[in-house]
Formats: sequence, structure tokens, C-alpha cells
Amino acid sequence: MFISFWQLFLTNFRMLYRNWRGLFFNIFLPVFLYLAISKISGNAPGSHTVTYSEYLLPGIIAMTIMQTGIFSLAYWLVDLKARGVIKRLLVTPLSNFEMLGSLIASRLVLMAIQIGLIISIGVWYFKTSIPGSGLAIVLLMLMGGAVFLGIGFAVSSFAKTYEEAAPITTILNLLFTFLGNIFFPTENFPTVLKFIASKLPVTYLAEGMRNNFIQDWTLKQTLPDLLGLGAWLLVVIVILSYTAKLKQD
Amino acid sequence: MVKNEKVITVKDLKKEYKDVQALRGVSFEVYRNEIFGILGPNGAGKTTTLEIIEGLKQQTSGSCHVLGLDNLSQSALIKKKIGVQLQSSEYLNYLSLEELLVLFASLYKEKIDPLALLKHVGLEDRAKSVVKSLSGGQKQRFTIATALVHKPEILFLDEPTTGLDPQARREMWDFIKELNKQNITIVMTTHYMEEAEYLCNRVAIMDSGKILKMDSPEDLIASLDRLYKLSFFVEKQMPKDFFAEFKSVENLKEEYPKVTLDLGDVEELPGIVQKLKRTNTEYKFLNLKTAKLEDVYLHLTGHSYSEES
Repeated sequence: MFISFWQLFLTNFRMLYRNWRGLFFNIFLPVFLYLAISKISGNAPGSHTVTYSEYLLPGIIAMTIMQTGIFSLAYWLVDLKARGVIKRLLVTPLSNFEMLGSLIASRLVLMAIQIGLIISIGVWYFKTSIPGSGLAIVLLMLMGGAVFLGIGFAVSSFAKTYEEAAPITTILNLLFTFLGNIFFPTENFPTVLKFIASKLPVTYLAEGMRNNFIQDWTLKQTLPDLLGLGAWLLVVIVILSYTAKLKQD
Repeated sequence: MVKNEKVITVKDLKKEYKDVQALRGVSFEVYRNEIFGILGPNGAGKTTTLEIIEGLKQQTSGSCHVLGLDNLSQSALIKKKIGVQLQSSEYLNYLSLEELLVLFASLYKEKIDPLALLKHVGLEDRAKSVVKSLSGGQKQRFTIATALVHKPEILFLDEPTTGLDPQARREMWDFIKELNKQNITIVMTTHYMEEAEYLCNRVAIMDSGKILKMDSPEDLIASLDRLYKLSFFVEKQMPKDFFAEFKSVENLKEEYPKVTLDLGDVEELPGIVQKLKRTNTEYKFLNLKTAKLEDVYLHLTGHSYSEES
């Protein structure tokens, strides 16, 4: 099994780094956003001690994980299905586990590269420190990656073409970016919106990381955010168990 | 041809969708080392039949066995022994032909020399190219190469020459014959009559989800009462009972200036020509053709064959 998993993983990775448009959106854009917004901003909202670059760093990481998970996997699978590539792979002995496992593993590696780059810029350029639990941060990123990759796969199960996938991913992107505590807190939002925002997976991810990036939170203190992401992962798995299929009969 | 071991057995295969019956009880067998063709217009059910055997779809009822393995419960084992060229094949972007072959081989847990396989299909100088840059014929050959990475016992080709120009089509025919000489059983679908006649040891004529008749192309044609088609052009309308004395003439069509008819007994042809001369009926472009599979189809279905059904 390993030979095919490894080749598929390599193949997925080759396709990611050879696609310069994808590289632009996956690597350059989040880094540019982080640099540009941090440079022109002062302090974090409602704080005199925390700079905006410190506030923004975990938000940008959360946004990157969210977008890589949803857009990268959703559009990728929709494209492969629509063009008949999945069908070509399904006439081989390739198992669903190998196919999906390699897709997910390659994207987790991409996320690791993206996050490593952004954190490096934060630490070396903006002199950000990370006083909280490193383990909590890693667990948050892994859980967040799994949730959003699952959402991306769910989108590809519903949508047969780009045209069908685009509205779904756009709505999700707007919702998560606007309400996800990425660029600004949602404390002063209307009650209903504040409630919705507090339950979103990207909020658990962003706020969980922020508490460890800015404060010296422990793994135990981060548990509620991890459990929140765990609950979302369960929801995604349940949805996928009903909707996920690679072949059409 | 001597009938060898049965490698595929299909019995009463049915496939129903909501409001469409794609297959209505298809049965046939394929023997080792033959080229078996399924011939029919678009929408006949050829691809559906193949996709059920290949494990891409499941039948509503009926059974299908490949090399003794059941297509429903042992699909994964079947896939290890067969190679498939789909009707339209697309590949992962940004990968070279070489990289794609290594990938496909890995899916069968095999390691191959991709350059050797590319040489086998005449594409060794395109190893570093991407699929998008290939011509139609090259792409079809590459697609077959991806189906050969694990040296399958049976190769399924779904309309292998659709979209190719006449020369590329001829080259593909020769290529398929070469593969068959290497002891690969080939099951192919086509909607080109000439292709089925040239390539296949046996042909199943399919229409509207059913197999109408199955035999070698020669025997299918020989089963017709009318083996010859005569056509010619005339300067003026012919007398009404001109052909009355020629007993083997049937399906006479006089669409002035063209006259066509089926001739059961070719011995009557000289008599027809003599009568044309005797009655001073000017004629030209006299053409005698032997019956083809298209005539078999017409005889079986009652309507003429259209490649675009």
C-alpha cells in the first residue's frame, strides 16, 4: 500500500508547487496580507500592550488553514471529478483510503509550510513571541486542518462543477472571514451575530491560537477550543458519511 | 477461430435508472486472446456494459464474471488483472507522461521503466511532455500505455479511435492488433462498422440495451440473404418491370438518376447489364459491393445505421 500512497502524495505535492496560480493564492497572498496589514496598523483593537501584528498573526494562520482546506480540496476534487480523472483512477485497484489519505496528507504538509513561513515572519520580522503552549498550538492547527479539509471534501460532494462549488465556497469564506475573529474581534457585534461567531470552527481555531500566541495559556486552558473543533470534526464526519462518494452510479 | 478458455461471462445483465433502461438483459462470453467487439450506435448501452464489467457501475440484475471473479464482490481483484481505456481520459495536470506512468504503475503496486513503455507505444521522445500537448492519436496511445503498466490479461478499449483522423485510426488498428498478438484479450466498443470488421474476431451488435446478434463479422454478413448491393446511375427513368425477370433482386430503390438494389445471386449481374444495353438504357458508375455489417444492422433493426444515434 505504501508505494501507491507515497506516489500519490508526491503527485499531489508536485501539482501544488507546479501550479503558480495556486502558489500565489496559497503562499504569497497570506504572507503579503500579513505583512501589509501589520505594517500599517498600530495596536490590537482594545489593547495598548498588544500590537496589531501580534493580534493578526494567529488570525492569518487560521484564515490560511481555512482557505487551504476549503478552496484547495473542494475545487481540486470538483475539477478532477468533472474532467473524469477520478473515474480513470477508480478503474485501478486504488482504494478510497489511499486516494483521500494522500490528498489530505499533501495538504497538511502545504499548511505546515504556509504556517511555518508566516510564523517565521512574525517571530523574526515583527519580533512576536509565543508564550503559550506549543503543543496546544500544534493540536489546534491539526484539528483545524482536519475540519476544514473535511468541509472542503463535503463541498466537493455537493458540487459537480466549478459553477456549483463557487457560491458555496464564497459564502463559507465570507462567513468565516467576517465572523471568525480573524482581523478583528466580534465582541461588539449584535448578540445574534456574536453568538454565531463564537460557535464557528474558525473562531475556535483563531481564538485558541491567539490565547497561546499573546498570553501564556496552557494546554488545559486551550481544551474548550480543542473540544469545539472536535465537535465540528464530528459534525463533518457525519455529513461526509451520508454525502461523500467519489463515483457516480 | 478455436474457442479457448472463457475469460468473461456476462449473463442477463440489466441496468435501470429512474426512467431509463440502459441494459435489457445482455449476455455474452469472451474467449482468451480474441478481440471481441461490441458494435452499436451512441446510446446502445456499450459503455454501460463495459463500465459494469470494469467495476465502475453496478448492474441492477444479472451476473458478470471476469477470469472467474464476480464483478460485484471481487471487483478489487478484477481491477488488478484488467487494463482500461475509457471513452474519454483526462489526467492530473502538471505531470509529464513519464511521471504519470510511474504513478499508474504504483497504483498496481508495480515499478516500471516508463521510457520502455513509452517506446512501446511510440512516445519515447515525449516522455517529458504533458498530456495536453499530445495529438489525438498520441493521447489515445498514451491512454492505452497507462492501461498496460501492469501487463493485464484483458484490455478494455472504449471507442479507441473516436475523434481520430483516418490515418491515425489505421495506425491505432495496427497497434491494437499488435497488442492482441502479445496474448492480450481485447474487449472493445465501437460505433464504426469498418473498425469492427477489420479488428474483431467476433462482434456483438447492440442496440437499445440489447445484443441483437453475435458472431464473427464474416458469419454475420454471410447470414444475410442479400450479400450484394448493386448501384448505378441512369440517363432516363427505367421501365416499371425492368427487373421482374431477375428473381434475386430485392429492395429496389429508384431515386432517379440513382438506382440501388440488393442482389441475392451475383450470377444475375451479367444478365442485368445485358438487358440495360439491349434496351438502350444509358448507365454509368455501375458499382457492386458486398454486404457489410451495416446491412446486418439494417436487417436486424429495420432502420439504417447512424453513427450518431
